[in-house]
Amino acid sequence: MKLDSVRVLPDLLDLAADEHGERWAFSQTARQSETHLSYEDLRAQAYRGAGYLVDRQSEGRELVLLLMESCPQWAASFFAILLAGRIVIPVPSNTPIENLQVVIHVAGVERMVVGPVTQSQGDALLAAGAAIEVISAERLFGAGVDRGLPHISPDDTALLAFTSGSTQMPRAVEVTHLNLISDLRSVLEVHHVDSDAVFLSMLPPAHLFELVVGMLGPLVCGAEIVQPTSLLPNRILATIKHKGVTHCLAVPALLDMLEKEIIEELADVGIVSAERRHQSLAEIVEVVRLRQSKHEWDETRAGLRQRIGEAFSSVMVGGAAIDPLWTELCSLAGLRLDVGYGLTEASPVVCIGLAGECPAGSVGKPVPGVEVRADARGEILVRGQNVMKGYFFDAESTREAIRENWLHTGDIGHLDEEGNVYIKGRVKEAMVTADGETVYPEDMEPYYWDVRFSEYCVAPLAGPDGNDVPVLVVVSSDPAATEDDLQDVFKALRNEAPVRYRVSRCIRVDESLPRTRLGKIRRRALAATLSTAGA
Amino acid sequence: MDHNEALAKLRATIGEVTQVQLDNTSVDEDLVAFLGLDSLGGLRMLAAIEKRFDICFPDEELGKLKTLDTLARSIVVLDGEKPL
Repeated sequence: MKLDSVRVLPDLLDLAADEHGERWAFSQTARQSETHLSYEDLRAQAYRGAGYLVDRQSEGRELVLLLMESCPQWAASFFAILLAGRIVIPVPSNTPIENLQVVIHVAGVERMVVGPVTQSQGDALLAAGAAIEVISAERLFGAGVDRGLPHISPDDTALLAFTSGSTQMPRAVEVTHLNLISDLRSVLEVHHVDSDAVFLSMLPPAHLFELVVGMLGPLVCGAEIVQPTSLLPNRILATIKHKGVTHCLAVPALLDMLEKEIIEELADVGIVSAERRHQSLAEIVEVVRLRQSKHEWDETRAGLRQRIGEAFSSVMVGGAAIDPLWTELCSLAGLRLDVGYGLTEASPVVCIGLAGECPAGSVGKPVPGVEVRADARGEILVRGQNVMKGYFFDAESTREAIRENWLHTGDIGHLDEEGNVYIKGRVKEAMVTADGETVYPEDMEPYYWDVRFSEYCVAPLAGPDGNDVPVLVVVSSDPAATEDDLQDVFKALRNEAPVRYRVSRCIRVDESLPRTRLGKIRRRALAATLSTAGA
Repeated sequence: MDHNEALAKLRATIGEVTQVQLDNTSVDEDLVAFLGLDSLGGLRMLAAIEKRFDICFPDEELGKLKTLDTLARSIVVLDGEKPL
């Protein structure tokens, strides 16, 4: 395995640049233009950036915030910060200013690197009084300073990943070089790709799943990573076809586009009715199975391939198990739907379920080198070199999360005799939305306080794909208040809430919210009751 | 295409996608909030508009296209740039 010589993440950059030199590491597709960055240029930029940072004095191991849109310079900045012996805090480019302020305060950030799009957020932070140096990518890479770089050890912290919001102190997961390289090695043993692979990157690279599986993995393999500037479904499809994309990690917009294209093609050739609502997915798959057995399928498959991109071969869906019917339909169209399960604290991949091998409802088997078991109450525990160093300056939470070397994931599930892992729910209150984002009701609820609600909470209804759909549940202070009155209050509150904390619906209940003996609202129990009642 | 024509066609297109009639909706209303769309719903709406008008919004404008008015203005400009 090539990664045997990789001890710290910058080794990976050198390995990839030595091996793939002038090949394109990144391509960015905009409406009418395309820009590229070769492996060699990626390395050159990273080393120039590291020289710039080393030139800036700091005490101890400085933390550098990386707030940049998805673009080739993101990776160069990431490696520059690590080469300089700093710790990188990658945050999505759409992070609200108030959350950035909390991150800067909690981590003691003195410098941040921004791109052209996020420069305005850097300026806004400065205007709000943040005592930080905002470094543009242009300045970072333009210095050309050749400095001696510090020694980095595998056990050094590589990055801090913040996992929660603004109203409470967020938690920062401390991940070492060894954690990430270990997880990357495990993933590549199961999911290695060739150097002619083309990855489409749609999740923010600050997301560890995208960073490890969608960026570091393809770089080791010498693949090209394509970063579209827009996530409009029609443009994703155009990029897949134009660039000959072979792999990507799923985002809802991609799955939405795929479903639409596959169903439309099947409707065009008369396999499903034009009004798809008359047929369930099960009925469609059944018809397709019959066609396949009659050898009539090859032509249809060719039509489907034309629609979704001839080279497109695999999509990895993060988090939840996939509807087996949907996996089968994609498979009949020649597209593999794999599933990956993990969490930031495990750097992040724990299990991979390959299409065709993974039983229905499972998230696959633990990747090599990672052990998984369920404890007596069904909580999924993880052990391996991928398990985080701990929560940043939070020894108590770390002790609670990692006990006798086992990471307590907070997920409830079980393993079958073959070692396949099944996830059934979450011990903690964390909700994972259809966008794949983890949100906490405690962070959302302060935005929905109003005197006209005597009680209220955010509860997770079950979404169609196993995800959570956060909804606001309220008890009116005035029993005579009409439904319209409450909905008006709700809409006004929602419009004031940060976008990621806007819930889709407000449900009124007439009885008090269910609580534990200590008075905490039992949100999941409430959600279950509402679902049973047809909410 | 003029502004009013673009507005009328827009109302019809968005109505088809979201199943919400926008006949009496203010042209300055924030559509995502008004329609209660999630991020995917917003993208789907823009994709449908691009397809219906056979245009491609500039990437840097996507975040600003929040109301019927801003959408119609952009459509009129892009439609005027089409080759005859």
